[in-house]
Amino acid sequence: MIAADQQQVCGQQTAGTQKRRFRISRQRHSAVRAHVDEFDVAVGPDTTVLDALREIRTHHDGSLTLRYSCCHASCGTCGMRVNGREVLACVTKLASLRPGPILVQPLANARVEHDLVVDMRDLYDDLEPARRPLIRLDERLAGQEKREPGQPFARYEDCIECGLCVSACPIAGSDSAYLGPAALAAAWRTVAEPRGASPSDVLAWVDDEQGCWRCHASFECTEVCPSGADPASAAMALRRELTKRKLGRLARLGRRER
Amino acid sequence: MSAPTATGRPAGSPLRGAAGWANVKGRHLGSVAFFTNRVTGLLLIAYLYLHLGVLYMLTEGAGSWASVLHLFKNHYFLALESLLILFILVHGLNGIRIALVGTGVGVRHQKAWFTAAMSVSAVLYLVVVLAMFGVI
Amino acid sequence: MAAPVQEAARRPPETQPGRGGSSAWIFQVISGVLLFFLLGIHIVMQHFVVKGGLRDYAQVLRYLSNPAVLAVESLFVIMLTWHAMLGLRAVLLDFGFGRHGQALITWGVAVLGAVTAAYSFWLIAALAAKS
Repeated sequence: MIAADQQQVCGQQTAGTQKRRFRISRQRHSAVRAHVDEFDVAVGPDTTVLDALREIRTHHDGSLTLRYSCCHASCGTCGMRVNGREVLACVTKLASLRPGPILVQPLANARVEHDLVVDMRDLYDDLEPARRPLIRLDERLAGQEKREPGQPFARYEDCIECGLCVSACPIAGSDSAYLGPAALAAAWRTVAEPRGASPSDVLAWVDDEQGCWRCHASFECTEVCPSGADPASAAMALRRELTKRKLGRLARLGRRER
Repeated sequence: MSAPTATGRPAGSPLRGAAGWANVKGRHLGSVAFFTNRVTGLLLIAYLYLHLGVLYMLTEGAGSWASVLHLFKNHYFLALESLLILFILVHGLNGIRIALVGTGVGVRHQKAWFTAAMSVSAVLYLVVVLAMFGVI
Repeated sequence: MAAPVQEAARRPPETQPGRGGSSAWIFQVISGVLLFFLLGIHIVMQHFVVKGGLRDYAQVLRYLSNPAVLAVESLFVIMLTWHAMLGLRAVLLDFGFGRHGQALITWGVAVLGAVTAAYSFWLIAALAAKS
């Protein structure tokens, strides 16, 4: 049956060994206040947050709205906050969470469209000027060494555009004009590996009080990134690059005047 | 609406989520460092103006200053002043970490540096307190 | 239940080159590093030289009669005010006041810094004159 196959695809356990309580943020649209609904769900040892949410949607409340797709942390669609922490729901096992009720909320620092679904367009708009290449070169691929000297692997970029970093960033919440960790990480990748794009243009773009200079090094973005994109290091690398260029310009100015 | 910013979006309304930066619950060492530096910085600014205000008493002559000193020699006051030294140590030593990390130097070790900065602060604070209370 | 009005079709935003920010950072770092030494000197000179750790009126005047002290304390005032104002500005800029607000904040802290430094120099001068 289709229903059984779908359950298999997402690894959902139907035989529950215990019940866990979920407290889920519900919101009809961005103009109204959110409220919390509680659901008790039968879960197994390998049940993920996404499994449980789908169970709730199927058997408890069909109006619960959420996004998901690949179910294996590749697409970045199911980002949300679980017990206050940004995660991808599809790979967050309930067994790894602390005992007690589980609080599920949408990502922060993005407009809530409905329940756990947020407006991701600001993030996508912020990423666009970075002209981030989607392919990168790397000496390693899934733990393997490069196959021939000077022949790095070509693989997809790390960032899966999930928005967890923006949600975790303490600054993105108070200033919507801040470029944010995702855009800065993308910008750094363009500078580090231009692939035809202009690094100077991208550096000029992030060289702003609302660009890389707004980062306060809280490193939360890197902590929550499910994909190893390390936005914090990218922001710092951009600052290093800009500082070097600024000091270089000053040094050249000094030399010319002499 | 203000002119487009680097993102092309106008800035959000001021103070939207103003206290968002203060959320350290469940966060990691980097966030604790950021929060600590901001709080100590703001407290030190408050102290700066308090200090400048108190120093005005010097212009009122020896008598006024003597009464100020009398207040300062109180043990409870000394304890509060020692907190000031702690804030300076924490802000300063973490500040070195931020100066380096924020310019892309040693980013990989940022957590270790924070731990080191706080440990050194604690030790130096102990030394200062002992000196303040005449033990050493 | 009325749904919110649909937005007009979105266009990718117009972006502009940034307006810099490295100067503020570089000055913050430089003033911070210098303050490490200057603040250290200030605290030691004020509290770990005279017996009892607090200078009385006469001792303050004697301290400020030394031109080297005046130079160091003056540099200290400048660096501290600068660093404090840049820090205050950094905190305020986080709250998303936009381009215009940013300019206002920068001017605001510059004025506050000028007033603070002016008052501090007046204090030093007034006391140095008495010694």
